[in-house]
Amino acid sequence: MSERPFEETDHGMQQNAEVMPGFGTGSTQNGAGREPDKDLVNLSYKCPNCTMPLKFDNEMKRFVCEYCDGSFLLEEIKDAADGKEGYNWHEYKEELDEEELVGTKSYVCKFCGAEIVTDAVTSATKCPYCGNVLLVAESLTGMLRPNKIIPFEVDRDQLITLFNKFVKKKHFVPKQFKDNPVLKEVMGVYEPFWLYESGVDGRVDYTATKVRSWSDSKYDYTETKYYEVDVSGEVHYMNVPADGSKRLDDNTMDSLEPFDYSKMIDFEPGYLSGHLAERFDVDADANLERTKLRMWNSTEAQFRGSVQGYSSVSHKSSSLRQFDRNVKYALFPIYVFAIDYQGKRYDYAVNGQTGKIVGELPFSKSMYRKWKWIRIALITAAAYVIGFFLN
Amino acid sequence: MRMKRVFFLILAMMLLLMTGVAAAQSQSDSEKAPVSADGQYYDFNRIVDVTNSLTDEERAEINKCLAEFIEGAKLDLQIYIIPSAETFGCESVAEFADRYFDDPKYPSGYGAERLSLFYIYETDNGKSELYSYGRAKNQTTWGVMKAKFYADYYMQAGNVYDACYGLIDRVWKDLDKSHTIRAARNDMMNPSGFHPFHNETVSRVLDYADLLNDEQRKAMEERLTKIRETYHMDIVVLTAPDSDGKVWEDFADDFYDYGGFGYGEDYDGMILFVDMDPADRGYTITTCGTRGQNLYNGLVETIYDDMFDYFKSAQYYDGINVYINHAVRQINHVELPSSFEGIERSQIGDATDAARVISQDGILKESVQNKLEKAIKSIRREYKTDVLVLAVNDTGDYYPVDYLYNYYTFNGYGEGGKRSGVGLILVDGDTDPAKFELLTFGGTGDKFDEAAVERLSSMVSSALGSDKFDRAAEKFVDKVEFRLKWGHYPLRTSTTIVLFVIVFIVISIIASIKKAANKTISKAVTASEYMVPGSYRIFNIEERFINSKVTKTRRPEPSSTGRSGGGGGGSHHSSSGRSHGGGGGRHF
Repeated sequence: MSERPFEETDHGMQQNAEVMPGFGTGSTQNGAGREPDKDLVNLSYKCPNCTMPLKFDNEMKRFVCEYCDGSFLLEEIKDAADGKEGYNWHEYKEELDEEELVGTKSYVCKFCGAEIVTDAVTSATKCPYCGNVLLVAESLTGMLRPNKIIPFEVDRDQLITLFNKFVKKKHFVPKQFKDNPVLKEVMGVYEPFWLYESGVDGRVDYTATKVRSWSDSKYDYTETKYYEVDVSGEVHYMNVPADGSKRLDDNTMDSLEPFDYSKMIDFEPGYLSGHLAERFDVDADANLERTKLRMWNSTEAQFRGSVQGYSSVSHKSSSLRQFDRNVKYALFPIYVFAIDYQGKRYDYAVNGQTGKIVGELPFSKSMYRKWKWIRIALITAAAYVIGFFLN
Repeated sequence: MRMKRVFFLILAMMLLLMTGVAAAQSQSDSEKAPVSADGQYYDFNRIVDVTNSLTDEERAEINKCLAEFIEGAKLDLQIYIIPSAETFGCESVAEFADRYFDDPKYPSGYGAERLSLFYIYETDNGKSELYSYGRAKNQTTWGVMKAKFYADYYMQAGNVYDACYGLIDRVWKDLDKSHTIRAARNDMMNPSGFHPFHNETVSRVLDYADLLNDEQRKAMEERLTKIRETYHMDIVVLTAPDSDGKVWEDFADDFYDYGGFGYGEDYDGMILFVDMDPADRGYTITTCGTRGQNLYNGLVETIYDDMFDYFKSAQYYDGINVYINHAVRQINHVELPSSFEGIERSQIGDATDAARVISQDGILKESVQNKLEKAIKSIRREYKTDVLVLAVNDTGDYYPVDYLYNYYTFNGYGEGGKRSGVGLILVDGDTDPAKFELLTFGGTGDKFDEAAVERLSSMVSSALGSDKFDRAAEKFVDKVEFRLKWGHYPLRTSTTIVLFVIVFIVISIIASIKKAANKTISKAVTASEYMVPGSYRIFNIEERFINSKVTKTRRPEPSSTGRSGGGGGGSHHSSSGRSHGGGGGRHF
């Protein structure tokens, strides 16, 4: 596992100056003169039975052969490949090496700049982010090797069912939209995420009061005692995710949480089979503040829970720091699709592991008013009748 | 011839009495000479006891005491105890006083201004008067008046010696604060020495604070006399410059007891005491006897409230009349009259065909009356319940509720054996807003319980507003019919509006929550779910005390308007040991 430590300086968090060739923010460093379709099968795992390319089946969690119907765990494929020519199960380095890159394809969207990586057999016809069809296939060079990957568990075919389930629970969505959703431009993509690990320690100061009251025959008394309460301690966070792509909105990616980390595995290029993966274009530093704020808030809330026995407690100041920081690079499975309704495009993102869907829904004002006023009328009438007879 | 004899006999008696007075005054001619160090007055007996109520020794002692008084107080105080002024050929006590003040044989007065004070007690009618002359005429202070009452009490009790002795001492004390009052042989403040008596002759309007003019005082006296004769209840009014250092209730109680007020064996009555002491200006009402207490119960705060504005604006006559009006109305309220507007109780008939809507002076429009009569006819037929609507200008000495009750009862309204019915009285009087009362009669209580009557009252009140009598009467009849038909009232408009607003708010909140649930995209601001289990460790929690602050707020008084420490409505005892009710009072 490759982990990248970073230290806090006087100027805040700053990534340790470790150069990662080929992964500058938003850059698309495709090697010149590469043949993108050369040796297409080399990166894909070969069927130990018939040597045909294997695909990863999300449901079975196994690699399957469409030609001989064989299915294999990764370890079985590796065992079978040991000693055979064409399979190189060497230890991955930070970057995928030349051989690994041979079986990849890279598409660059000339419209939004997204660089899509996939295996050689998967073709991209549209940009999953902007829907642009003008994708240019290029050879891929210098891709940072992700540390972890969460494989897709949700099939593309399940999306319509999941969406129907999702939209069914929602109110004030036009019936026409609910009844006939047409999912357009469905793309499964491995979205780059940075996973931050850090301990947080320090002190949080609170102002607290204790109030007691008593009375005599003439007066009511209230005594308020004011305190300063300082809490010091520490807490650790693991794998706090932050979107590593500019293409998808950060808040949308936040909303897809949580991912089930128990099913997160070490990255193998073969998991890209049949899916697209985007290269990160937001480096780890850019998300530091955002992630740190999340940890700060949770730490302060945790400390606040330890301040008990007061009538009121208000936050005064915090002095927190991070330590033992590490960051990992991971790919998380995301579906994106769009639905056009009444001339407006509604974009959705789906957690490819849990099936959680997020995105804006069309809002029917007439349904909202109808729902509201019918209930107001009915309940008022019912209350009036009940009140009339109980009066 | 016979007439001549009677005339001479009377003449002879008058001469004899006058001689008696003269004899009582003149011990010897030598005593007529001016005496004292500065020769400011003539020496003769100042105590004239024609009725021989005193022994010779007592008379001599009091005469000596009077001489000391004249020297000390520089005022000629004379005490006359006579059967009546008429027996001396005087038409009034005032004439009697003037005659002896101007008697050349016994020149009265102290110094050039002839300062004099005459206390004259008539044993025939138990009445006393106090007259002052010279500059002293303006010195008839509240203190002197109290001294007179002190003397009156002992005179009434037959203790002439203590009456005279006390009068001298207390007038002296009033004129010279340094004078020490010598204890009487039978101190009136000692309960064991209290002798209950009825003082029929004393005025019931004792205006020592001079709040009323003569005309008002006379009118009020006549009214109170009539009330006493009609209702056998003593209603007393006392105004004074102070309460003699006592709390209002004690002063009023003592004054009532020692003044001989009250009717019958229980000394029934009540007294209004108005204290004009600038430091403690206010009024209280105390009662005596069971009937007096009944008048007072539950009413005192209303009386105090109703009087307040008048006293605050110095309309004392009107303010005191409020007290008297309430007293009389309360008598009528507590005790059913034997007759009402010419109808004796034995003459109560049947009002089957009588009008149900009675309107004086067109308070209700004729069209409204006709409409209501028709509606009431239907109600009587359908629900066997009578409905009476009275619209009047004035209810006289009755509270509106009593007027309605008596009108309904004495005129024989009501359905069935229990005379069931509901009544409304609207009074187009001076009150603003106009007054109204509701009553249920007979077996109507099960349909119109307390809450129902209260609700009906509230609806009529809102309809009445300021003098909208037609609307109030219509609302009353309409809601009575609704209640009889459904067993309850329609929901209040305000309740319906509140209901709607509550439902509107709740549904709007739910709708907003549902609408907000459609929003699935939001920024993550915490990382609690990524906290490593068991990694949270507290190093230290330190508490530092900064300061403390204590605030105190006064607890609400049991009553914001009642006089503190007054004990209004409770029972208490005067110094005489007699039980009194009432008290409390109101500052103004």
